[in-house]
Amino acid sequence: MAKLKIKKNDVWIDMTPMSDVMVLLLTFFMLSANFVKNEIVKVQTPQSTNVDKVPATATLDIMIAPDTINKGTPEETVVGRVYLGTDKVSTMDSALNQIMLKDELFKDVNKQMTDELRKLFLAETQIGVPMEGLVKYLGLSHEEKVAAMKSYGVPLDSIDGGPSEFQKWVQALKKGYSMWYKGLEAKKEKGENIDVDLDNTPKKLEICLKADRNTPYVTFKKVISELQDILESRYKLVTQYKKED
Amino acid sequence: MAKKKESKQKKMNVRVDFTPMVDMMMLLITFFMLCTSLAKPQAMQLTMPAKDNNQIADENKDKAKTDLTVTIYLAPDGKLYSYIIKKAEDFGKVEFLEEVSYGKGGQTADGKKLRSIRDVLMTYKPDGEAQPPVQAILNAKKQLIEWESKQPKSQKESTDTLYAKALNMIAKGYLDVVKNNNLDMNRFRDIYNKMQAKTEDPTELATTLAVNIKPLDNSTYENLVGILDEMSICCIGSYRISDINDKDCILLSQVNGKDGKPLMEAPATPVEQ
Repeated sequence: MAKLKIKKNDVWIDMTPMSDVMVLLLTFFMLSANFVKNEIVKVQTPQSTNVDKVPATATLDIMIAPDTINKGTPEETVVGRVYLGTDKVSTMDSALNQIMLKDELFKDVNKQMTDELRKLFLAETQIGVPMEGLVKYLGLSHEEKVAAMKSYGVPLDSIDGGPSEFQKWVQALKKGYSMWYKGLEAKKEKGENIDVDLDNTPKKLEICLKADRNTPYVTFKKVISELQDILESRYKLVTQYKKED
Repeated sequence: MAKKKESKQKKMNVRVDFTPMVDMMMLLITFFMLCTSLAKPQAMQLTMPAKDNNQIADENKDKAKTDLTVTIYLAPDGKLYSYIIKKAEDFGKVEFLEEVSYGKGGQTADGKKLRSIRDVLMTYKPDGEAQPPVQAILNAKKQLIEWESKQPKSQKESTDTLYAKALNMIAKGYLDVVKNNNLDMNRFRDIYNKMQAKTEDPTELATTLAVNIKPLDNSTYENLVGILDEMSICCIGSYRISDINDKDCILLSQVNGKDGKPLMEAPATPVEQ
């Protein structure tokens, strides 16, 4: 019996074209990348045919997410919860430490704030709990934080007839940003080296309203009216692009 | 001799194994694909009057002629109503209230055909006008787009700025800023200077519609953005978002919503009309 001769095939596959394609794809993704922010509360923005882009930096993001309260009872209603955030950590830092905590109203919170808690605060991407509960919130685990955020939001009610916590935060964040900008300007004047191109940096934070499609209009109206009270009347409404039909 | 020696040299295998490299690339690509978002969101500019100016704005509102004002009510469940009256004393008459739809035309639950809000705005012709005002503006806009497409690519930035400013003028009613598919630069500068100096002459303006957007409290944000988008598509320069007042309540209490109940409760104490 003749022995079957198995022809040995060369199993070497040339990977060069494959790696070429890979490099191309990788370059494409790296160049077009803008990283998804790890926001605790996510919203689905409505669609529009608008083509102007959201500014890349110096935005004050106001998020409005709907939340159903009293689920399953006749009093079931949809309310909007408000969250604040900005892309600059230094702005968050000065807004909390130099403005919000210096406020007479929050002196109890200031006493409880340790350096460790401050660091934890800076790791947050959004502000979404009342000042009173901030210390407790920062000590929670991630899952508990998500649950807490979803059921709180920044309070819109005025404090003893004065500005609300929401208004205070908006003002604090804006002030925090301009403090940072002015600091850099002063440094530049003195001839010190700064690693930021000041001419291409916006002087002020721009308000971007990022509301969920299903936010009831009444919440939106409330937020706008609070902003009008503190003389903020220009906003950018964040939307997704859709083709004109 | 020398030739023979060379051929004796051992042939090196120059083939490099790319498999580990491809592996690594795959990993990186997966990482970038999962952690980035490609589509950058769009932003729509909204400017609301500052609180203390509201008084003045309210007075201005009444100045717009009744038959040039379109009121849009945003009701819950995606319902939409347009209200156009030709005479001020017709206010409150429910027969002028028309149910319309967002985007392209739609249907009601009982199969009745609805016009889209865009259709309503584009075809509305007040008495004494040769053509619908929105149509005239859109024609001018078309000419402006034509002009923009003819500009050299190298001047894109300055073209964009000019385009935005000219479009703003057209929306205001300066239709003569474009002529024969071209931007009339002399006229453009003239209008620009007048606008800066606030010495505008209202008689130069073509008729434009003023839109009053009135969302009900339980309508959604998506509804509002949908309408604001229609405003930019129809090139409406003057629109305002305002609250429902008692007169609107009376009007809307005569219409039933999806659940069969009136859209609004009529106010307890009827107001003088």
